Amino acid sequence: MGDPGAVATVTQPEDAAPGTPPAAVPANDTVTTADAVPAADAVPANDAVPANDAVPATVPRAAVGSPAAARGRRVTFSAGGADRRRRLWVPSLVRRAIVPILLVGLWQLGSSSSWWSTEVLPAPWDVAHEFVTLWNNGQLPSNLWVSVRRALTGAAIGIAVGLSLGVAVGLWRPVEEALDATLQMLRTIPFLVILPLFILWFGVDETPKILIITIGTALPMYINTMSGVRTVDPRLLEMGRQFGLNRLRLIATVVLPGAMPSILTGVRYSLGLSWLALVVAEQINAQKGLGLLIYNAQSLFQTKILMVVVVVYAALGLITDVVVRIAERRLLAWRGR
Amino acid sequence: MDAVTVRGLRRAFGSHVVLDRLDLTIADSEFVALVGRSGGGKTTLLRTLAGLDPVSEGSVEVPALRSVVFQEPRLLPWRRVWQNVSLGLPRSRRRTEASQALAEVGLADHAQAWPLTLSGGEAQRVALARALVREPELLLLDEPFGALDALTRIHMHALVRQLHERHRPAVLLVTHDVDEALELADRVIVLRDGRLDEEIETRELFDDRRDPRFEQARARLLGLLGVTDTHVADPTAVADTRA
Repeated sequence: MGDPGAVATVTQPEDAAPGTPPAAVPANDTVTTADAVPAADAVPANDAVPANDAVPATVPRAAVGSPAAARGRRVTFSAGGADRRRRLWVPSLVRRAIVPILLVGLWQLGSSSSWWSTEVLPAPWDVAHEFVTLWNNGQLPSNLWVSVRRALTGAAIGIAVGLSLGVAVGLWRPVEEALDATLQMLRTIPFLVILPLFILWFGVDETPKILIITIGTALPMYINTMSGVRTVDPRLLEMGRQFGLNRLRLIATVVLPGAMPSILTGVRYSLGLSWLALVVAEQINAQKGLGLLIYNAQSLFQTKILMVVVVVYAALGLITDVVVRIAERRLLAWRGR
Repeated sequence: MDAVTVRGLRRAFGSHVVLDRLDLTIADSEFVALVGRSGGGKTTLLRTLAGLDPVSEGSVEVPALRSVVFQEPRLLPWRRVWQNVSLGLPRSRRRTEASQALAEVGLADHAQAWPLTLSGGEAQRVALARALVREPELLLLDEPFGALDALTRIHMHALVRQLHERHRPAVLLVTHDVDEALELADRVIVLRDGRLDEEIETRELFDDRRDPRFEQARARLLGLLGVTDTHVADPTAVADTRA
């Protein structure tokens, strides 16, 4: 018992006295419990540490190295280990917020100490102030609403199309043969470059804007749904058929739930991309929307407004993510926590 | 009336003949066990009766009301236990019939559980409840206890026997466990080289395991499956000591 702190819970054959090389420990089957460490020796060891600490579920250092060193040693695992007590409990939300808060703090510090010109990057406080102004004079809410509606309309159509195509291609070979190559080809085109073409074809009103968002969201949705449908256990499909489910019920009760983890990944990607597509779509001749706000602010060098819009985009992204997470928690509850 | 009539069923995978002009009848409410070596076509025959494998040669007549318990439970993990049991039932009957069936297999208080929280034996009992809830005229059991531990298997045997007595479906049990076959079935048939090679009536046997005919039947079945060098290899010796 040479190191009372570390090995308080380890009882060893008495032959393994302090200083004895590990290799000298005899085969433990010859050592009976009657030979256990004498109490007189154990007491000072226990006094050296608080009583509660006598039961950590840790393997002493000496036992970790070679098997020879561990032979004959005994380790106690018990409830209420030191691990849990020593760590201060902090709510998850706070833990997640620490880094963003630190970054904003750094941003404010840099602005106040003039590490950079506020013309280039305004201070967070000024951005917040600008946000309130824009919100109160109605510029931000009206443009935000138009943009959100555009993005959600495009994403809703895109997700519906991608989901249907993904299920059809994933389930039926003829559909796969007819469509998959084409869709994979389309996927490799950076969809934003089609925008100028769309404007030539459909004019400058809502249609090309929504269409570009639809295409941007449909493709990731398609890819994820299809691969999800492919991973559905064929034995479950067979079981469903055997128990008399028709094709539609089979899709609703076996295929879609089975593909749900992938589908939700697709939804998350799609919604993320919908904001991206929105920004680009609104650069061109938008009469309203966040894109217009950016365009105007850029031409007038109003960096504060630009930063407000950036923050709004970040918030929108965060909100979509939270919504998908909540959906995941509900729809995938069967997987357990 | 016969529940199952198979005439001249042939099935081949490439040049490998799995079922070779096979004939089989199963009477109403009869419990038949089908034993054979693995890869010997037992499961193919069961799947054909289930309607999962096509019939290319010969004829197969089975009741429209039939259900299968597979080797694995095959529960939908995203549906609660009772919803798994009531899969495919008319909406109005779902709740009550599912809870009845779950009570019969002793899982009434697991109705709301997710399948992933069940043990292997519990999951297989849910599969059994799902098969029985539609009152099948033919119940097909494809090595349903193969993946269970020995203790759970004993419980399952008793449960299956009890459920068979209550519902009286015709049963085809596919197994490679000779003892299981002898314990549960009225009749044990051996599938060898694609044909039904031997039939053993066991109806009166399982009541008394000390009956020398039980050991004889066991040894004969094991012999047919290629196990000849165990202590039961010589049925006459066993019979002699008991006599």
